[in-house]
Amino acid sequence: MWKKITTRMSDELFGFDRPETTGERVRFRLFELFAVVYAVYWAWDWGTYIQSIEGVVLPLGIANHLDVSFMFNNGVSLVNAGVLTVFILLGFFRVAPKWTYSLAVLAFHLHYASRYSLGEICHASQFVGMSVLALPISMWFSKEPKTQRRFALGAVYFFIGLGYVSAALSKLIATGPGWIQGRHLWLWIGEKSIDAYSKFGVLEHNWLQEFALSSVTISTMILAVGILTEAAGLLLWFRRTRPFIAVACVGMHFGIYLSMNIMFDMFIYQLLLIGLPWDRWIDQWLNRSSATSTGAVPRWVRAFALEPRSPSLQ
Amino acid sequence: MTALATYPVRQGPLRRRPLHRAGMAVLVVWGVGLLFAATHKGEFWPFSTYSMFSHAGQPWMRVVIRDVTSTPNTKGAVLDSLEHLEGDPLPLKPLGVLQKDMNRLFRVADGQWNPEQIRVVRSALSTPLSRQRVLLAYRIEGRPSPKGRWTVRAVPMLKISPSESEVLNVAVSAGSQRSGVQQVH
Repeated sequence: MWKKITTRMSDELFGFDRPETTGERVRFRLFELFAVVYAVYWAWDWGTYIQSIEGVVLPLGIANHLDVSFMFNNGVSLVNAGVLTVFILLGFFRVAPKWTYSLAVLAFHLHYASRYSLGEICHASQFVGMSVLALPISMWFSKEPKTQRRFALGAVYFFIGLGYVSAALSKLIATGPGWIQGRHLWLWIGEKSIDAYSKFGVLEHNWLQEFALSSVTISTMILAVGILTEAAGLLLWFRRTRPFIAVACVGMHFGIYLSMNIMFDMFIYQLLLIGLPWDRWIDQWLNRSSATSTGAVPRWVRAFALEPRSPSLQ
Repeated sequence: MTALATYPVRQGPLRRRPLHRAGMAVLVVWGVGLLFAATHKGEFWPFSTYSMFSHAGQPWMRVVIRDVTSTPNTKGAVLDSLEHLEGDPLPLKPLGVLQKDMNRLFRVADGQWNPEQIRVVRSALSTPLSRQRVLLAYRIEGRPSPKGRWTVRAVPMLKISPSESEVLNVAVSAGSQRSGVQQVH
């Protein structure tokens, strides 16, 4: 029974034994490119901000063991941003990727702990951070490129799905089923309105906030839909339900943005990238293209997907 | 060669072994994290309870900065509404100051202001201070209201001028205030 479940889950998440198509390879490289681009973005965004930080208010992560205040002056955080950029690009272009991606992860974490040493932890970068972490882990545990790809993407499905389910469970544990009570949303709308007031100097509510504030029943329904969507995050583990729950989670994030002014834009991009069946669509596109032209996968597609010249070389 | 090649892989136990180890490593890390999260409150690096919005219906605290240059001698008063805050709004977004950092700074420093924390706040607000503005930081406390939407209370916490910083209220989290006890330059 247990073996049957684990075999089924392994097949759904990783599918190590399934053959791999060109579309899957392209989609994986797009996922990898997404993680690399946003890691570089955070590297420089945080790198410049860290220079304006004056002290550690609340140590986070590695900052509990290492005084990260050396990052705040003399452009050290910018040097770390440069190191992170170089290592992660080397990894992407497969120059000793196991080592360069691993060093990039360390630089990324040092950056994160320095940026959020003021105490408030931002969640927006965590899917990206997890994706960057999954890449070297997959390379440490397997030498086979296809297995690495399947493991990295499967681990991301696993932890994102688990993250949403944990979010729903922690709400039920901390508050109970009454979490969905509409007045709770009212209170959060009030809190986030003050944030918007502080940021922009204007105190006002948008149409969804006014709609939620118009009735306890409406705001209760909004919270109920939100927690049910989170609880259904487990469906990301299954190939058949993955696209539907990805779109539902994107909808939930738009709802969070409109009701509480919190935009998880990178979560949205990543959910769309890994949740929708891009591999199948790319294969269909390649099939259509090959039927009307040379009959082969375009060279640039093969180069981007790191495809060997012949399948037998795999 | 077909247009869309598929790539068969080698089968057998040798290929599975490292994956088995990886899967076990993931499960062990997850299990330890779960154990810490279940038995402790707060954050245990590298594990986190990620309790964002888990506790519903709780009072909250945010920070609003006002420009009181036109009334530099004000000490501010505790208010039950946002309509009569002293001075003019000082939007933080154009200054490149993140609201959540400011909230956290005031939460951490609540009643425990020290020169280092004051220095961090002054550094974050260095742009208006360099323009000779006088600033008043309000702590906005929100609570659920059984009748209406919510109630707020605005407590002036910190007055910052280009030359000095004055703590106006400390230890307000329990609902009581003491005034004007600290001058930090």
